[in-house]
Amino acid sequence: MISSPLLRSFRERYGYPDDALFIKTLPGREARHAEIPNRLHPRLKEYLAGSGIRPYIHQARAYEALADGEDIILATPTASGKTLAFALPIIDRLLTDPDARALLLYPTKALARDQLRAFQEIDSATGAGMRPAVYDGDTPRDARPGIRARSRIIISNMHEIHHILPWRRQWADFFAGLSFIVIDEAHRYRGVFGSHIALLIRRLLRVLAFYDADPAFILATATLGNPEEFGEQLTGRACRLIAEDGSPQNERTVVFYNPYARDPTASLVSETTDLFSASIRHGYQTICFSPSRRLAEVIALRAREEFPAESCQETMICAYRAGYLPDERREIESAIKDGDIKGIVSTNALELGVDIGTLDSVVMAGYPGTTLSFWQQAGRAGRSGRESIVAMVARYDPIDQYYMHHPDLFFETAYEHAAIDCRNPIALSGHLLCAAAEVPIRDSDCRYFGPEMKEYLAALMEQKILTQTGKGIVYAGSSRASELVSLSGSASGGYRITHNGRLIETMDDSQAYREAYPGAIILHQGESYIVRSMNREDRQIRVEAINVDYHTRPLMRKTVEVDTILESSEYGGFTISSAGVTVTEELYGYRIVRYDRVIGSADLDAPPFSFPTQGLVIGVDDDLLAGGGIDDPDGALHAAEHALIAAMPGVVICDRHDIGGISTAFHPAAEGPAIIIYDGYIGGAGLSAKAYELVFRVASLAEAMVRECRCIDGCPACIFSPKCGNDNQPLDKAGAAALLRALRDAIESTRSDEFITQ
Amino acid sequence: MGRSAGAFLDAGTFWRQRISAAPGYSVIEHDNRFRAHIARSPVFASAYQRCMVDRDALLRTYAGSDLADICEGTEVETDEGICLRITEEQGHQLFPLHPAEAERHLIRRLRLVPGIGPATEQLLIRKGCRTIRDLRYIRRFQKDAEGVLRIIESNDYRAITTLIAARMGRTHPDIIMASAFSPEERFCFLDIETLGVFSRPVFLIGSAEIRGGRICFHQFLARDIDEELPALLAWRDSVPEDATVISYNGRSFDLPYLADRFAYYGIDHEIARDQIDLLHITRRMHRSTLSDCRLGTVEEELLGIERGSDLPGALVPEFYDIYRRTKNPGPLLPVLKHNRQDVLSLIELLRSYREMTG
Repeated sequence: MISSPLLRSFRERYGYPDDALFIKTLPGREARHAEIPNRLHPRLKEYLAGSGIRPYIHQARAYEALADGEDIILATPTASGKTLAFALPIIDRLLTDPDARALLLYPTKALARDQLRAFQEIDSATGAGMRPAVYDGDTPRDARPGIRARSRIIISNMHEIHHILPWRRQWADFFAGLSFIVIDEAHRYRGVFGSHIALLIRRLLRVLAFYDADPAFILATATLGNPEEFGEQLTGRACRLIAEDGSPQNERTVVFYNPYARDPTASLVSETTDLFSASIRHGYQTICFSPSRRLAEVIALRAREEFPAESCQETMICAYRAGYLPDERREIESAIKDGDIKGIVSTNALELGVDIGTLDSVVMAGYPGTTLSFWQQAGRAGRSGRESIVAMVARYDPIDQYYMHHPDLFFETAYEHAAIDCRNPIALSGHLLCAAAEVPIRDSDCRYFGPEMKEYLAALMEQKILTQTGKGIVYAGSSRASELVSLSGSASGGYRITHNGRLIETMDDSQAYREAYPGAIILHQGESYIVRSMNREDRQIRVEAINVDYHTRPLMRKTVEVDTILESSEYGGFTISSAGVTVTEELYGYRIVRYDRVIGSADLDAPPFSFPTQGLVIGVDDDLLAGGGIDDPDGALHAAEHALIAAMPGVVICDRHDIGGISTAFHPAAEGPAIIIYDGYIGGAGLSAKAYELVFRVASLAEAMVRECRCIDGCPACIFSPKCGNDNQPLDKAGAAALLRALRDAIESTRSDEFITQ
Repeated sequence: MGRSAGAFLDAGTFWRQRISAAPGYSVIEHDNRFRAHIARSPVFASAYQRCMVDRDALLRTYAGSDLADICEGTEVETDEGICLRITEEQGHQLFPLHPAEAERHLIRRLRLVPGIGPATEQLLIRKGCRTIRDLRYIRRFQKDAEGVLRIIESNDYRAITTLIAARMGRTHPDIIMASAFSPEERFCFLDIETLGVFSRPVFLIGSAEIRGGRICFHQFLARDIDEELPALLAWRDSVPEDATVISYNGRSFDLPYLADRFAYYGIDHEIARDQIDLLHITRRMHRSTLSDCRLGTVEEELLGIERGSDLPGALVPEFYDIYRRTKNPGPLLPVLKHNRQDVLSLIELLRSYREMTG
């Protein structure tokens, strides 16, 4: 089965012991075409026939569903011909209805411009005269009125929509005719960011309803565990799922390599470099994805050293990262396309919006965190007519190690669910302010904003930020609502992180408290920065770029109060609840850590920080902890908490830094021992609420991770947490294994199959 | 909670704090002029301090007072509720520049005839063509010259401004000349006060007209935001349909802003067709001689009006907001005064420009 010299060399190098290497060949697939839909406009039929295009089945189905008036969510891989799937229904409608218009929303400006070219081509080939145009922050001021008046296909982004909604008078004609809203890369709108986008879409729909427009949605997403639910949460409308991909697929070979199976002290850098160089040496043009910029540069440097000077020009292997000027980027991109560059090392942050086409082989330095990113990165391999290899080197980390132990499970049903929570109080109240500045709010608007709307409106009127008038509730604040509310990632947009006066990102208050204390190292798009100051007055965090090989870990005392129990279930010995909680964190210092070794520490004097959020409360019977197999109840609870937090990202899309937890021998809300896992964002991000629904998957995954880890009393691959506020003390691995087993079994024996397998 | 950096109490408090933390202006320390140029809505620290002192004094003086104690207004009823109208009359001297004078002047603007640019105009003047009437004897221009002449001699304001705007641009001082053809009763001098530069309520519309040889100045005040729509409607109904709106930056600010607010409430409102934006004309005429083109500067340097302790425009939203939330009418006083002066200055500025062009 293993044919190529490269795979043979992998087998020779890494094939011992057996479980260090896993190789699986994913069969290729022929294209599956559909007939050109009968209803299609003759001009489009002509265009398809003339250019020899036969639509794939998913493109035809998308057309049929939209022609029947449905909203759709398309879950097919990148490069499966999504542009045509959007273009057929849109141009078809625009040709038949001279007033119809379409709005296409992409997550990045680069992607928007790519798509503009694609639409311009189809537009001119069909002679449709739709004048497709990009309308975003880079659109010159004097070009804007013309685009609004004449373009029937406008390509933009969410941020732009947030700011143009209050200018709706200028958009009246466009909005009144709007027939389609395309949201590409929809999976990016998840977590707190997704909650903001979902509310923004409610605002857009409300303004459109003011103009009697009711467009159809075309969503496109990478593969998720819950595409239909996600689509509905994002848009508020039931979306028909189209997941059967008709595009052809090359055969690909996936290689999982676990260096820690042979040597617990192995180095991720050397092992990745080794694999990367071997791939290049065998003549495969290879891209390597690394979790940080520093690692990317080290890998590129080491890989270059592997090649004798004469065969290796400087350009043969290069690092590719954020921060290049557009010209530099284009130069690298074309060198990759021409084959002059044989190896590229990039950070994970760049998996999207990089126009480098496909290569022969992909190497991942560590699991990229979600199956979704894994497959997006894997999609970079697959040049037709050649063997394609996707290789992943595992890290010493619970999820990586779990998939190394269960590679087959990875290919079966491991897709994580994406969470969105439209009830986050800051996001919801903030978007109500924006909405009130767009069209006066009436009672009936709770169909967009939910039953909580009235309560927030009352609180905002109490403060006179909103006022009741004869026409509805009106915005009366003295700052621009859309400037107060930031969409970018954090619920409150609490702190601005600036580097030399330039904004690099915004951070939620709670996140800033935990991660951006003075002295902390923070990562942004794979670049590391050190926090120099945090100003609570002007809400600015000033950072400096720094090249260090250590990171920092906060030390904190945490308490969690349970305010309201939202839902609760009993499982023999465990009471599991989804709850509204208030978390109080008190940061008293931080550790400086290099390669998991503490090399120093510093004290901090920060006032305690409290915030409301959502939590998953697991109450444990005292008897269970006193029972067999658990020597140290505190250590068992603490270790189980870490394992559950480590398992969460395997089930719900999030980073383990998005969640926090505590464990305690007595919690008043549980009237006994409890583990509480909470969303690390003010108001919550729907993560622990999702974990409540999928608690069996989380518990089983945590249980398997602990049980299967070969260490004796805990390691970073099972119960050690890189962000533990108590220095990973105390921990009882055997106790945690027993406790988690009891938890998993209790759920399994109580609930129906449906709950277990969802 | 004591020493706590607590994050979220309730939505109202949270956003109120955010709004207070993000004022719509920036205070320029040490009155540094260089910094003022790069800041958004700058307010010099000295002026800011003075205003804060004034604000506190006003709040003390008018604690427990009623709006009726500071201004005499009458309630105006509209279909959408009531608002307050404050009216003041003043004597008015006819604007200088008689239509006949304006006509004599315009007739010498050869460039009003299509096909004649600045160079050709100079050439024609050198050759002895003094007026458009003379052009009738040059075959090339004969037909166009007759057309233009007909327009000028019609003394029709709209036709003449359209001609000037098309040939010389909307910001050309000849627009002032053309205003001589409009009866004074059609002028509406306008200035609005809002909660911000965009997408927030307008709460005060100052509007002056000339009625029976006197200046009739109205302020339509929304005592709270629910009176915004009544104020808009009351203003709209007070202005003749064919009014020429005279403003300072109204073409890009006041009038589109009003149209946005009407649209916000779902009411169609056509932006006035005839406008004279004195900011544009000031820029064209005085950019090189004035230190800047703000209305306050123009008043001081051109009209010799000294405002004294005027409230900077950037602080107007905050003062109104305090009045609205406390119902203490004190902070509203400087806002009403500021708006009144802005409108009255427009009248003086038009007078001054008419004198200059005449």
